[in-house]
Amino acid sequence: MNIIVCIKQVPNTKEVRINTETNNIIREGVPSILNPADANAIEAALSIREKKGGTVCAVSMGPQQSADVLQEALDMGADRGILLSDRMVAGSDTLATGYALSAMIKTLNADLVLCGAEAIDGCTGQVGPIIAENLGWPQFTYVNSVEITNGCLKIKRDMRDTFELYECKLPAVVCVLKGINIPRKSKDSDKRPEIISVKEIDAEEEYLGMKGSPTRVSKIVFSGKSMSSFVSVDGSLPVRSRIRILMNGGMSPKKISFVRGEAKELADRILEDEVLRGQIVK
Amino acid sequence: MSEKHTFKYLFSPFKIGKVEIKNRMVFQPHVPYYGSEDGYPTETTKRYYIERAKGGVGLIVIESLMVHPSGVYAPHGCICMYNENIVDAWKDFPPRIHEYGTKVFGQLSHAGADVLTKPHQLASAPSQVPDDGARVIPKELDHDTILEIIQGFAEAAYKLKAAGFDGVELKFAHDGLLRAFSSPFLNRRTDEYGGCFENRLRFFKEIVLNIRKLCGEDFPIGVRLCLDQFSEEGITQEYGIRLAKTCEKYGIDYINGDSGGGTDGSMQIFPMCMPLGTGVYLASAVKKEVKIPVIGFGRINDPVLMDMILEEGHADLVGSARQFICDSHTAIKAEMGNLDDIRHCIACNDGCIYQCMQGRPIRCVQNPAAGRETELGEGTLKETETPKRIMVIGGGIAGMKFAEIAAKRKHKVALYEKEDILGGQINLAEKMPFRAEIGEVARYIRLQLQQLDVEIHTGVLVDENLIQQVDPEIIVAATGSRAYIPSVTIQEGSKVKILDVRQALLHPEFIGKHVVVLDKHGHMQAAGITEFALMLGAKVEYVTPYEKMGADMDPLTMEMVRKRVFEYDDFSYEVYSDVEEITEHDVVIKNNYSHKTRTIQDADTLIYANYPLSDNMLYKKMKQLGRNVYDIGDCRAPRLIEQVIYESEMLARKI
Repeated sequence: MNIIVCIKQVPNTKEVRINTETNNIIREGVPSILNPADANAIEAALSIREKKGGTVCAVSMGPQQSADVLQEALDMGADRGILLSDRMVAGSDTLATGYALSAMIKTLNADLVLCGAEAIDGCTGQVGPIIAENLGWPQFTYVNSVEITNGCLKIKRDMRDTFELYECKLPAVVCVLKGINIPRKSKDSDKRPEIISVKEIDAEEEYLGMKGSPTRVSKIVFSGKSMSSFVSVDGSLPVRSRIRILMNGGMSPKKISFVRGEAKELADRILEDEVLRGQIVK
Repeated sequence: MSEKHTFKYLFSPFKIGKVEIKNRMVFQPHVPYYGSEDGYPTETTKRYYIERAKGGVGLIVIESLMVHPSGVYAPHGCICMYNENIVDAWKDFPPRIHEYGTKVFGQLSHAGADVLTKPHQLASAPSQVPDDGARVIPKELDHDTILEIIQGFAEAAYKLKAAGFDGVELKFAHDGLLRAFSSPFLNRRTDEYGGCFENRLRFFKEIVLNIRKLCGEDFPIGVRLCLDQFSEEGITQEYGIRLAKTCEKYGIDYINGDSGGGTDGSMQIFPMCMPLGTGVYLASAVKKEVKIPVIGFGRINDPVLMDMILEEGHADLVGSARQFICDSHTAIKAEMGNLDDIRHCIACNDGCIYQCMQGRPIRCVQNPAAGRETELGEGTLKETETPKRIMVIGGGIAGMKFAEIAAKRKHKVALYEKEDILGGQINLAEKMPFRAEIGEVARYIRLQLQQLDVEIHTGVLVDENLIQQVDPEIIVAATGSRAYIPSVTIQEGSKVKILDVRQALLHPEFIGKHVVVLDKHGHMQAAGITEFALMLGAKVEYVTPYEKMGADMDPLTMEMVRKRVFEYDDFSYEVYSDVEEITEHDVVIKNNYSHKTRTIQDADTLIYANYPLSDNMLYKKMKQLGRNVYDIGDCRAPRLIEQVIYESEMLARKI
């Protein structure tokens, strides 16, 4: 079983500030980190390897310094780390990135590709699905559980209100949510990332870099809905609703329900509800 | 102790016009009713504000100072700027505030139709229309009186400036004449002060122009502005923002956020059930629309919360009245990093606004020093010259408060509590729906005790032997009270369960499906247990001999309780009634006046809310033995938090 994990180096968005005059992100002096959900993808790959054997290879694309995140993957326990670094891929949008990574993956004889659900800098969540399309493999997004039994992939997708359970044959692309697991601590590894150029993969130039990127960021504007830790209510609602909603901390009172009963009766009821919600399989 | 918190914005200076304010904290204007009978500031008034300046707040906006005899909130206790020699009466005050680096503005208001006395005194308004939901019919103002009032505002501002105040604020808030003139509902005039928006705002505009003429461009004029009145005919959020933009156009220097109406007040001085920072979103909405500074408001009781409001850009300054009443030194404690030492306002409204609404001087249930600064303010607590070994029996708030103050005075205090945790009845009260914050009363003192040299024994039931063994010089009996249910006529073999409120809170499983609550207490107990049972899915009938639910409670809190309990289909209530008898399956109630009875069928539970009885056996025994013993709190006589805390502090100061 060969597992490929696609990872990305991102600016630590917790420390990013917005230039209020240009509305652009100020990247200067902001430390770079491994995208958090990608660390979960690495962890998921490593735990599958522990149970099923095989290899874990982390791949990334970007400037030379992106090799730092591959070293992190190696330190966590990946077998290989490969960085595609080439002027020809500079300026890639998600389409071109997905294409280049899928070309890389084709050279690696993979059974399973794991990605983080999305990167904290762009938050598009598109690269994983684009890789799957290029490979012609099934894809699963918003995954909060991944297992392999008898060569069969078992997936749980978190749809917020419900869970979707799938079974699928390999190969496949799986994009995991942050929080699916707790990434292990890394130990210094002797292994070092390999850095390759476009020449080493079978890719067509017109689909790479700026040329292969139809996306243009025309401008960034504030949504007006700035972050707020405080309760608020729509001023156009009727008075009675406004007061009720504020009193309930911003929630509609209808969403709150109380259940009473004997401990056993309640436990059964909770269990039943959880089964209905797909949290627990009976 | 907590890790030292770094404040990003709270302690950075800010400018309103040319007035520099040392930090972002504002003590919000309110009428504490410390003024003299004839409308002058008293030393109590001044000391009350000075204490908050000493406590480090950046800007204090005082009172609602009255500008014209036709519009005072209550005939006594309001400070009237039209009084003779009022400048002299104020002259020493601003310098005493400035001594601490704090700036002071005066708020000016004309009460309009929103007067507090009942039956009401003569009130005046733009038109003869009662305020939304009120029953005061005002006199329609004559044209010449309007001009007098405009002049009154301007002269009052000029007098403030002459007395050394740093700025003036106009009350365009939950009550008063400025709001009334702006309202198409309240203002039906056909002269130049009524009609279109511009005409309705003419009164305000002329006040601003006249103040500018007398006080110059550099004297800041702010506006306390209602941003949503939360009533059918009142100011809406949309209209509030329009008013804010108009204020900016007229050259106002800042907007101080406000909401709610004068009639009910529950959305003005948010009670405990409302989330912290309830008003922040309204200030935030205004801040997006105007360039002048905005003061955030609405249940803000903590400096970390204040910093968050500033960091998220909702406001430029943060205002609170009740937090600084509750802990005058909130700002300094935050600046020193002593966050655990801050006593948080729980918005019970019992001591402050409830008193104010009755035209009485305000107090604070947690802070006995509020309004008694000269006697009890910061720095008045003196170490004792004769430290005594004191045994405090009972770790409810009476025993805890006594232990805290006595230990601060360097007495040698040992505190004994029979439960495993300190707090007494507070630990029960906080279980009631929407009342969790009441736990702060015990939490604060608990943290104080941890930092003091007090021996704390929990899980220890004190008896005579233990007292003999410890052999203290002074015994303080704070043994609390036990629930009391007067005898009721019960048919033998009745299936109706009778609970007191404490049992019901501790054992919700005892509460049945059809509950009768009998309220002979009048405060929060019965209302709280009613809602508790409703939330558990029970059908509840509330019965009281008094005229209303929560007869002795702060009306704002009760307004919110009613807004919740009447949402339940299974709630009903009966006033002027008492429980007559309990039969096998029913509760029979009787109207106290008509003596007619009614049977509440198939009731399975009766929850009896009553004042408890003192648990004073040990006290009496010690007294008999001739020991040096004092009784405090419920052990003396069952009362409310305020009385218990005050009494305990006073005894600890005296001993």
